[in-house]
Amino acid sequence: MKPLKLMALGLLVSSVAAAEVAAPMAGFRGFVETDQTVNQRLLRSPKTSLGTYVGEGTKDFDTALLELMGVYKSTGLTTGYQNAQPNGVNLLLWYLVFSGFSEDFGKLCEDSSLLNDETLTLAKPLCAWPAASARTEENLEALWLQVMRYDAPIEEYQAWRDFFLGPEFEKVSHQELLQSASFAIFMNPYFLLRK
Amino acid sequence: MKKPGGFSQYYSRISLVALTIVAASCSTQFVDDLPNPDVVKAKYVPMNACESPEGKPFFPDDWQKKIWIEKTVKAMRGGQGVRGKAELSEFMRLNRRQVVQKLLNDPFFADTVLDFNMYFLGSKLGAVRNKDGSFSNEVIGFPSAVASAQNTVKNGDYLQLLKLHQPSFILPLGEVTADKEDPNEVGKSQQEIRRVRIKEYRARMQKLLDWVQANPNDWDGFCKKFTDGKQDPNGPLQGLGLHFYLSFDLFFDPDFFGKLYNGCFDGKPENRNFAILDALKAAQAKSELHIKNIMEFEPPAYFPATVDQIRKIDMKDLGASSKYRQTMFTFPAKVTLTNSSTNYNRKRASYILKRFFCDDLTPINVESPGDHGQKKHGDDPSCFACHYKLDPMAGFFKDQGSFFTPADLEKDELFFDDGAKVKYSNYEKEWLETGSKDRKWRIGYIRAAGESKHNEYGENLDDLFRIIGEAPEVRQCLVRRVFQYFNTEDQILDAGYLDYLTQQFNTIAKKKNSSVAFKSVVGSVVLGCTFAQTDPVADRCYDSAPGVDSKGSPPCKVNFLLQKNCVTCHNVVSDENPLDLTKWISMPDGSSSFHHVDATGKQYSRNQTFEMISDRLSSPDPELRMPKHRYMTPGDLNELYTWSNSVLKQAAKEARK
Repeated sequence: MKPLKLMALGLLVSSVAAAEVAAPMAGFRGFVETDQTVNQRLLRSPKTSLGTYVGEGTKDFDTALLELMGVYKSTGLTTGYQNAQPNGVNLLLWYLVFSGFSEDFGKLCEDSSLLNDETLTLAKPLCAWPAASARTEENLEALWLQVMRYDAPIEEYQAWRDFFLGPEFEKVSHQELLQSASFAIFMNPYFLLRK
Repeated sequence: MKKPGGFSQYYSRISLVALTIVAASCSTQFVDDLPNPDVVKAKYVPMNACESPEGKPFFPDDWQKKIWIEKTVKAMRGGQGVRGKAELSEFMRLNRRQVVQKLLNDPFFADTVLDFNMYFLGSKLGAVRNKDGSFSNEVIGFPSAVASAQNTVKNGDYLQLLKLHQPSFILPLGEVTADKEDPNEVGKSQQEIRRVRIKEYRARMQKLLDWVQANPNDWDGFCKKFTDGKQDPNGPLQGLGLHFYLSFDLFFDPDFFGKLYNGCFDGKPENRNFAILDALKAAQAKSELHIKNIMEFEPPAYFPATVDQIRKIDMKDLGASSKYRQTMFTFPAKVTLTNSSTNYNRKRASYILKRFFCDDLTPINVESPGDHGQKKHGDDPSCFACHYKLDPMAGFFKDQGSFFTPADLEKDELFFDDGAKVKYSNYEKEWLETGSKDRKWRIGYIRAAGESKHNEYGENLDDLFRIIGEAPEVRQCLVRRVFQYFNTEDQILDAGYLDYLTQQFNTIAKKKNSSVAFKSVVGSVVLGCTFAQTDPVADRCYDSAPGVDSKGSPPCKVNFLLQKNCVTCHNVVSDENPLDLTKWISMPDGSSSFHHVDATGKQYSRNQTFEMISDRLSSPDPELRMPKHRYMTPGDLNELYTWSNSVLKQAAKEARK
């Protein structure tokens, strides 16, 4: 349930925010920036690419799909930032990327090869979920800040934290918690969009 | 759609967050006891920065300050965010101005400068570095961007960015892939593969030399071997990992292998009027020099960690002849800015106008061909709207043929990128001046078609880059791009604020130097109110020049332009003047327009007013065209005309609803 539901939540948030303004200007940060952000903050090896979650690097897809996710496309001297405006196609691609990545993220307690040591240290206490010792604000805040840093207002964090401390996640496995909680951060407009 | 669970409150909070941040926008008491006295002297950060009323904190809480710090650090360190809690705490102890000043002195600020420079030149990358921390090879295609970024670190000449003649830069030799069919390479390290190839080059070269010594005049036999992929000595040399941006021209340099390739190309006797052995020995000497020097750039021994560690290379050290030309028109420009037999350099001209002058060639039919018409496509009034400035700009490139290869004056020919050839002496007549005896060529940067005193003329690329270096429009364009780079391209920029920032740049560049001036503008922009927003509204101006009260004024996008060009006359409604461009009033239908009345004193509708404004701005009749008998820069004119039309479009859209 969780990924689709959480993504829908994220989208609704962005539509509410957009309705507030006359001419919203947010676009995706783009594949390169988001990939680098995830690498810098979370990953062990710089060679890991989020593109692998949509088949990038395989002979069937190569790089064409990534261009749909917001890229500076240069043909020498005529660069333009392309496909930055969210639409059905690029959002689906981001969904695929982060649903796949958060699934792997959710396995961090069993397989530590993907994530860097700092992330593992901060997220490990959540491996005891749903034990009461794991279901704390402190543990969730550590996860939020490791992924989002300070790219989003505190209200975003508070709403996310309250949701995951709420009844819906009271009894789920640590794997499901980590997967859903990280997915909700990745699909948050403050993580994906340029403001 | 049902809002699930605990998230329902979440949504209603979002708008509050945005409003809080907008309302909180701006402050902190700037202090002058800064750690680096040079920074203070340089006045990187002027006082127009976004500030809140006295005594009130800029950030309502620590979290919001951290948001600003994260965004600022990322923007000013080439995409690298805050490095852990300790660094965040360090930044938290500083006020905003101190944060910015610290970042301006960070070695990774050069990454931002480089990235911005690439953006300015129209070749922005997703990131200037690869994920392993190495620099993207793309950057060496833009040596002016690298040189300028390096200069900025040393407070040197930032405006190297605008110069034609540039040094060459080199990055670590690229990864080489083992030839699966060559047992000498399979399973070997990068370093080993390169040495295998050097050995292979030497073996092939010696074999060829021996053969040529035995068959000194057998061109056909030589060419068969020289162009055979398994015997060509050049092949292994090209496989050492030198990026093709540098190697593309190099190996075809006449003093390297170029003369021999040319001799083998079409078999023409005039291309074979030299001794093969001499040319091959010369190429051998160049190759050995090339090998010796190129291996200095083998990784990991050479791995520039910062922009200033990217090394320059004298292409002669890699085997280029003294005729080798290295300008800003390197490989990416050559393949992109092509010149065809129908285009006549207009693509190149369009690039220069767009990137250096921020002129998108918005067609406005204000310029008349007048007496200068020469019965060409560009003289048609609707075409002339662009061509009056495009064609003379194209003339600066008249000597540059395919791949920016200079015209062959001896043979009187020039090649186009579409393969066509032209008699050069005929071709250059395209730009002969026929309407004035003051100059030979109709080549220049044209601000006003009929008024040469406003224009800048020249003949060649050196002249063009002299003009670029001096034109106020270019400085303003640079500053505009800084604003767009740190915010977004679609964020409206108050023309008065742009003018203010440009003056700041020019003043500091004159008093100190252009690097300090550039940093000053960057400082202003990141300390500005626009940058401080987390959810900026694209058509709202958050920053204005100091002392400007915009209450009741026309929209910020054009207010300053109207002040500058129009309100000397249109400042109050009177019998002679039915239009007041200082009053932006509410109309009965809920829209806004200028105070503008007909002969009976009745207010015109918004549509009527803006149709008249558009007509007057674009009239070819000097008696009707505004500003009457006065000069307005093309940039101002574009902005006003485009805005006026956008109001009309918006009105039409609303009428359809």
